[in-house]
Amino acid sequence: MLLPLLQIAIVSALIVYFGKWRGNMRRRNAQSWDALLCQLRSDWSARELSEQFLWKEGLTATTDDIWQRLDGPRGLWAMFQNARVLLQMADYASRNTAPGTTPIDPMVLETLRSDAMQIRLCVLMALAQYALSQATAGVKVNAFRAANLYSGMAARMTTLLQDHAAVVLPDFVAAM
Amino acid sequence: MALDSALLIALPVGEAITVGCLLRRKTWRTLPLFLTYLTWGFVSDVALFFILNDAPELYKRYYTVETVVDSILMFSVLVELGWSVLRPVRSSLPRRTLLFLAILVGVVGLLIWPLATRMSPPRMDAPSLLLFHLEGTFAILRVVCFLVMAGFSQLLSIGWRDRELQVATGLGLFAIVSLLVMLLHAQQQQVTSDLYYWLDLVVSVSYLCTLSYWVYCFSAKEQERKEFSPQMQQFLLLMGGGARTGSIALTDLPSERLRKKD
Repeated sequence: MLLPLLQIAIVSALIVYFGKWRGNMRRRNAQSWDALLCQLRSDWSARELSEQFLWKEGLTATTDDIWQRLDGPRGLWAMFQNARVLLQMADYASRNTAPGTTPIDPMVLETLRSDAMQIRLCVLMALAQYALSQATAGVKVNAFRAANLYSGMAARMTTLLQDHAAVVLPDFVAAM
Repeated sequence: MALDSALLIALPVGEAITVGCLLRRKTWRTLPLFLTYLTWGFVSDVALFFILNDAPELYKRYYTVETVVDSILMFSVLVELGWSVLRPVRSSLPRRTLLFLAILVGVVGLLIWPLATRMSPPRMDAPSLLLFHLEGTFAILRVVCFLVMAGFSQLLSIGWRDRELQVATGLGLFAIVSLLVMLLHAQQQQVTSDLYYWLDLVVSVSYLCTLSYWVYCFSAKEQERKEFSPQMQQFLLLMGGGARTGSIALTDLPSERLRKKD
């Protein structure tokens, strides 16, 4: 008697998960650009990562320093979430580029997706290792790799705003 | 029995309309195996109609061939859907990823087989039992594949295009109903009971619902494109590391967009 009930419970849970996942995907495909920008985490700042964060790509600190500056798993999670938003922006671009206009270079989107996915993978590996063994060298190396990619993306964004939209630069710097 | 006869006509009609919609929307370019699967469904259902009316003695042989071909096509549809979901990251994947994907789905199917053989209705002859296990394996495999695809895409934040999402939704719904019915079949004492027959009808009705859903989705136009201004494009160009063009200014980027972050 217990086994059939368990089977029905598992299938019911599957239906709920499938329905929720489908709803999320549908909402994700219907999001506006502004809604995506609003999803970038602003309650955590990555400015501690480097003395020249936002102005220069690359990190010069050691893996131990970066781990401290990231605020451990909290910073990793914020980067993980922001990387998701960046992937959604890439999807938005490939979905909404109007026919007849200059299409965005597929290689650029590819690079963006690749960077964002690498950040997510590095963060996942770091968090999994952290859950098992706290802050070991492996955790810190993965955290460093994620932070390095993230700071590169943020620095390129700052260059863009500095050159073309100086008015919004303070807001961006404050948010990052 | 009236419902039985109605389904016998409704299913091939539904499949024909779905295939027509797929051809009209040119979805066959991205999902050719899915189109083949539906076309096969249409052909086999038309054949079933004639076999039941004119040569019922051929039914058992027909059912065996139909189930085997259906399973092979379903396997290829699952691989195609998985490959289609990986489209945004395909160029950064190794060349043999498609082959690896096919092998992976095959291996998962082989692992599921022993699990499916544990769920057997009593008093079923050996060939029918083999087909029951084959159907059971694919019912579980479909659900597992959708779970893995959904979980993996959620983890890495891979987006699904609308058409792929619609195909997956239909197949997923049908897979879950098939699995549920298979579990209930396994609990039954007799394969000749009324309940067994009604549960089989539930699977057919769920397939008809899936076809109706696809017809509804594929006959509607794809979602209208949203604004994607040069400013947004520039944002991505820079974030993506492809700072090749500096010509498009971002001077009219509304500051409110970034302020909303606060």
